[in-house]
Amino acid sequence: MKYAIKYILTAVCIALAVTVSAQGKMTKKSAIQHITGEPFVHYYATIDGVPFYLGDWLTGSVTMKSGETYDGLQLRYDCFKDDLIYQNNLTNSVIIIDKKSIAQFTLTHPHQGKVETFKPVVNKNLNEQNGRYFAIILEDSISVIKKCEALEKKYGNVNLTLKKTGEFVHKTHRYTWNGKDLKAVPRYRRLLLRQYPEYKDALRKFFFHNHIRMKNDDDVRLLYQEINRLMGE
Amino acid sequence: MIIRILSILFVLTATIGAQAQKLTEDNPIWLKTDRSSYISGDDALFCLFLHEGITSDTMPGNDIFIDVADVENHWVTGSIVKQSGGIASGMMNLPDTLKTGYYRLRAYTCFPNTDNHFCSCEFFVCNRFDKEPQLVMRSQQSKVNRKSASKIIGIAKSDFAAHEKIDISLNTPDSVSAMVRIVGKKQWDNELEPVFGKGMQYNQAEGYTSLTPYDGILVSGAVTDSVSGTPIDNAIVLISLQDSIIRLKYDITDGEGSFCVLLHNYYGQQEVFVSAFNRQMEPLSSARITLRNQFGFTITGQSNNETVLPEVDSAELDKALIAKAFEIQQFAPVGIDNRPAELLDHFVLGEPRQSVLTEDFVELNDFREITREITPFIRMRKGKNGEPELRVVSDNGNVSSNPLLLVDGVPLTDLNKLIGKGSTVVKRVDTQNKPRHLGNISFGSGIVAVWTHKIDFWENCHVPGTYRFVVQGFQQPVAQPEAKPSKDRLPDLRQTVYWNPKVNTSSQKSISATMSDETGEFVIEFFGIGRDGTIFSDFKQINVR
Repeated sequence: MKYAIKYILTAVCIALAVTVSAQGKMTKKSAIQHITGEPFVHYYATIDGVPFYLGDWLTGSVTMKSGETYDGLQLRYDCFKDDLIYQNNLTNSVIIIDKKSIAQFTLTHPHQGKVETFKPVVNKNLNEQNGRYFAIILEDSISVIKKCEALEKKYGNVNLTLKKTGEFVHKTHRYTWNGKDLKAVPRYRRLLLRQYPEYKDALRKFFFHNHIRMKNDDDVRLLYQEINRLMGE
Repeated sequence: MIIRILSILFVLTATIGAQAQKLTEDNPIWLKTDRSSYISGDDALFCLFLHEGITSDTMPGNDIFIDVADVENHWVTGSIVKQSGGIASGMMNLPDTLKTGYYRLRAYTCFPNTDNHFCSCEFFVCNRFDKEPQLVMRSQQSKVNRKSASKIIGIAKSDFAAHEKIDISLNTPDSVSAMVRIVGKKQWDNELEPVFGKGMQYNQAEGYTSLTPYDGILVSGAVTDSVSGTPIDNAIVLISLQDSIIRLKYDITDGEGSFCVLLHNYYGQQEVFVSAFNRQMEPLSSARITLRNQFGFTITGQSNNETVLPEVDSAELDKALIAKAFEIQQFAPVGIDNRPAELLDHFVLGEPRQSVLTEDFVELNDFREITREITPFIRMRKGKNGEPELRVVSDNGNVSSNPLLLVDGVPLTDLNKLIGKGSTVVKRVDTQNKPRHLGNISFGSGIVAVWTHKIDFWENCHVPGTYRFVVQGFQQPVAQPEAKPSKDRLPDLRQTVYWNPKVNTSSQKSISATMSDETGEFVIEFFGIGRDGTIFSDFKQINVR
């Protein structure tokens, strides 16, 4: 009986080992991907705070212009330099992904679980070839997009104890995008009604029934969905 | 009671009949050819209808492999076609050297470790130089059982004159993707039923099931040590193409030395260059690289063959001979999807730090002079073993040796082959002096890309360790041109009078075709697949006097 148990245990161990090695092989093959980029150079520690969106590494996916999508990546969006940074655990490297090759990427909020989609938007007025990353709030004939920025605010006097020269200040701006021009989304209802005088009454009713707050992304999405609908009629 | 049993039997028969007339997940491919017999050297036209289970984006390798094999499964020729919206079409050139006999056109999905479905059509080929036909093998496939009462095809009359235009209206109940053809009645009568199946034997090694689902042609192979024959693990395999842009693919070998890549946007037959490196990007000159056959399938379980004396249709033979003599092309290639190839083939080089055009400077005799005089970020020095070595200078003055050197898009591991080339050969030198990453491999010393004037560096250059292979790319789509006017001096003896595999009845309610110079009995056939996989078919016989 003792020997039988021993044999069974040995057989189970061998089976487990084989399964684990097979899984290892599969993981290796699935890891083949074609993200291109250059090494990320760390910021000097003279500026307080972090320039990255939501501060930490976030789980997300990247869709390349060639059509490939890579999920479950560790990503950081550098709002200061407008770069997408990727941590490749297999090669222990941190890479700035080529903006030219990205069609879109998503980031998942660590606590809320909300997924935000970012796309490079080329604005001819800014004279940028590869565009800048904007978070997509609504995609329609008039889209609503959000720019997350990190600016360096210099201290008047250098903090001698910490040797810091300034800090990163995060700001977000919302814009409408019709494929050509970027326009800031008005902060107040009356300014928005002025932009669309022909739908004034309809929009007033919409504000009243849906309790729209212009600071809320979801509300702004609803509002511009209605504007797109009204324009399409 | 008898009536009840009979009605149940009737319902069952009808259900079975309905199942046969539908593309299902078990029979997901339906193959149609334009004719039932060909002359060697002819082009066999085909179209494929696919079930949505195959065309879904989640199914990897959803392009379709088409090949020709004899009835004993000896492979003859093959091609790969892109499917779009469940339809694929193309043509297969039947070699002049084919013996008289029966052959199979086989269509199959090609991805290891999945249920590879196939559909095959048998047809007859007559060798035009074969004066006395011998007994040939054929399988015991039955002729197509035609029964149609669907009244899809509408024509005003059934008698036409040679070269007359025929207007055909199409009345289908739904949006149907279809093929419409006009062929000789004799050809049509001799068609054999297609054969469906799955579970084709695939000869390649396992382990590729987790490749990213993505359109492309699977190319796989193995890296072994050329002396001992042992597989080389963890080697970086670079696959490239001689081209005016960098089209670099990579894979890392597993414990069996196996690698595989998916190629896309490759049309026709292409010569690819394959070389192996270690993880430090040093070339593995002792590595032996082999590529597996792309068409590695064999269909089993079809051995019920019989021997028959072939019938040779002399009219078809005459038409083929005239077409050959006058070089009449019945089908012409149409434009292909030219998406920005540099992004499809990955942005390996990035934005180069410097691009130098040699023609902007005085003529320089060799590459050493080019690096010394006009490329400030590249230096050439003697290495430790006395061999020349390339070095790249970064923006902050650091020098790193052995960058990835690409000549006409192909990695060059022996710098001696380039040293003698001056500005009469070298057109442009692009330098990327920052480290670059491509997926899980990195080029820590940067990349130097050299382009020649004629993009022909590799035509007479052989480097040990860099292997060349010819791989089959996607077939370029073809279309039948408009019929020539009757006053043309050449006779119009089209072997297939009309062939249109891209009819969509939601937008196309009628088609028009022009008859050839030939007279006799012809058949107009409509064969299409609805959105739910239902097959719609109809035919009408016409007489041409």
